[in-house]
Amino acid sequence: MKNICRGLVGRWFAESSAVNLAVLRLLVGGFSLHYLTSRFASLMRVAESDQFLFDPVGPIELLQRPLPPEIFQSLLCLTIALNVAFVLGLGFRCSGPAFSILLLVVLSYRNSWSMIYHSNNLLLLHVFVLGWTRAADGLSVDQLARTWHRRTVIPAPGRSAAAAGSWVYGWPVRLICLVTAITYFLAGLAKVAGPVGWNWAQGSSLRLQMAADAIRKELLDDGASVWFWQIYDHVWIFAAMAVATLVLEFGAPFALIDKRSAAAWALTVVLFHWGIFFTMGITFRYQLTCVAFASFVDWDRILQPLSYLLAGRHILPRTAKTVC
Amino acid sequence: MLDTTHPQTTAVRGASISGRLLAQRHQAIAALFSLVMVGLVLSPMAESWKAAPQDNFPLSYYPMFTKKRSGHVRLSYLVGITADGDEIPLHYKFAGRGGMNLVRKQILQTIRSGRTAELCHKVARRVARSTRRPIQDVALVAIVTGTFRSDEYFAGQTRPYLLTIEAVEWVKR
Repeated sequence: MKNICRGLVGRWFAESSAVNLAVLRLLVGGFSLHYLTSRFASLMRVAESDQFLFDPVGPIELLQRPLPPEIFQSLLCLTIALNVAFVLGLGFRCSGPAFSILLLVVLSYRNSWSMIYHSNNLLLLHVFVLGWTRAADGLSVDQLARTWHRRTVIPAPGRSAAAAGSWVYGWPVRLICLVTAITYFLAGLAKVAGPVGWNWAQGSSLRLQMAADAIRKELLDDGASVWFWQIYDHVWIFAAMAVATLVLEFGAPFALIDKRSAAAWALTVVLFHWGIFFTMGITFRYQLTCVAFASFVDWDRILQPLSYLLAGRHILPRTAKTVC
Repeated sequence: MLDTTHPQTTAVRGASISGRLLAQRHQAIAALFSLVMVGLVLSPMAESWKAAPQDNFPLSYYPMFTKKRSGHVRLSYLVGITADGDEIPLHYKFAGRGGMNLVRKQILQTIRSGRTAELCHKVARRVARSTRRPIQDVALVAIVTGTFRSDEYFAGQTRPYLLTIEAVEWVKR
C-alpha cells in the first residue's frame, strides 16, 4: 500500500518542463480571450435581461438582485484586461489568480438567467488550475523580464528557470487531465443514475432527447440538422450512439493510464463532439477546437524539433517526462 | 498563486536538507490543492441519485440528456401571421438574446410569471423594425405553446396536436 501511494505521488509529481504548462496557458487563455471579446455584446445583452429572469448560480447566489449593467460591464472589461495579462504571462502571480476568480464571476453571472450552459465548465476549471500554478514560468513576459533582469542587473549563473524540468510544472497538467476526465465520467454517471437508468444505452431516450432539441431548433432557431431528419427512423443508429457515448464517458478515467490511451481518448472525444455538432448543431467550441484536450498532448515532444529547426539547437529542455 | 518555489530550488538533486524539506512542504501544498480541486469537481455527483437534483455552475453533475421523455414535446414559441393567414415561425432572437435554449427557458419563465403580453409587445415591436422578407409581411405575432408527437413531426406532420395561444399582438409599422 505504501509503495502504491509512493508510486502515485512519484507519478503525480514527475518532472515536466515549464514550456508544456505555458503552452496550455497560451491555448486556454487565448480561447477564453476570444470567447470574452467575441461575445462581449451578447454577454452584455444577457446581463440586461429582465430582473425576474434572474436565477443566480454558483458565487452569484450571494447576490440578492442582478448587478447594474454598468457594473457588470466594468467587471467584464477588467476580466478581459486580466485575460490579456494571463495570456502574456504578465504579473502572473497576481493576474493568474485574479483572472480565474473574475472569469468565475463573469461566467456564473452569464449562467444566472434561467439557463445553465455546460459548455464553459471545463474552460473555467482549466483556467483555475493554470491561474493558481506556475503556468507563466515559460513563454511569458514575466520570464523575459526575469531573463533581462538577470543579464543586466544580477548575473546569477545557474538559474535557468523555465528551461529546467521540475515537478512544479508537471502536476498542474496532470490535474487538468484528471479534471477533464472526471467531468466526462460524471456526465456518464448522470445518464445511468437518472430516471432512465441503464436503459439509456438502448438509444430510444437519446433519440427522444435529440428529437425534442430538433423540434425546438425548427420552431425557434434556424432549423434542425438535415442529418437528424435522415437518421430519425433508424433506431439502431441511436442505440450505437448511446453505447458509444457511455463507453467514452465511463472510459474517461482510463485515459489517465498512459500517453497512448490519453491521446486515443482525447481524439475520440473530439470526434464525438463533432458528431454532436453535425447531428444536433450544438457547438461545444472549447472541445471542437481541441483546446479542452491540449493537456493530453506532450507539447515538449512537438515543440522540440520545431525549436531545433528554428534555432538550430535545442532551446527547450529534454527533461520532460510523462504528461498524463 | 500557489508558491511552489523556484524549480532550481526544488529540483533537489544534491540539494541541501533544508531545500529538500522546502520542496516536500510545497509538494504537500500542491497535493492539497489537487485534492481540493478533484473533490470539488466530484462533489455534485450525489445529485445524480436525488429525486429532485439541482444543477449548478461551475460545479455540475452534467444532466444533459438524462431526462425521461415520452415522445411528446411541449414547446412555447413565437409565430408570425401574415395578412394572407400564413404562419411563419419567428426566430428566438425576436424574444431575447444569449442563445436559443436560454431564450426558450426565458419565454417559459415569462409565461409562468404572467408577463406574456409584455413579451409579445416587445416581439411585435422588433418584428415591425425588421426589413427582411418574409418577416416584413407579418401582421400579427403570437406566443403559443404547442405539443407535438416526435414520430409524427419527423414523418412530416409538423403541426402541434395541442395548441395554446398565450398572447397576440398586432404589428404596428
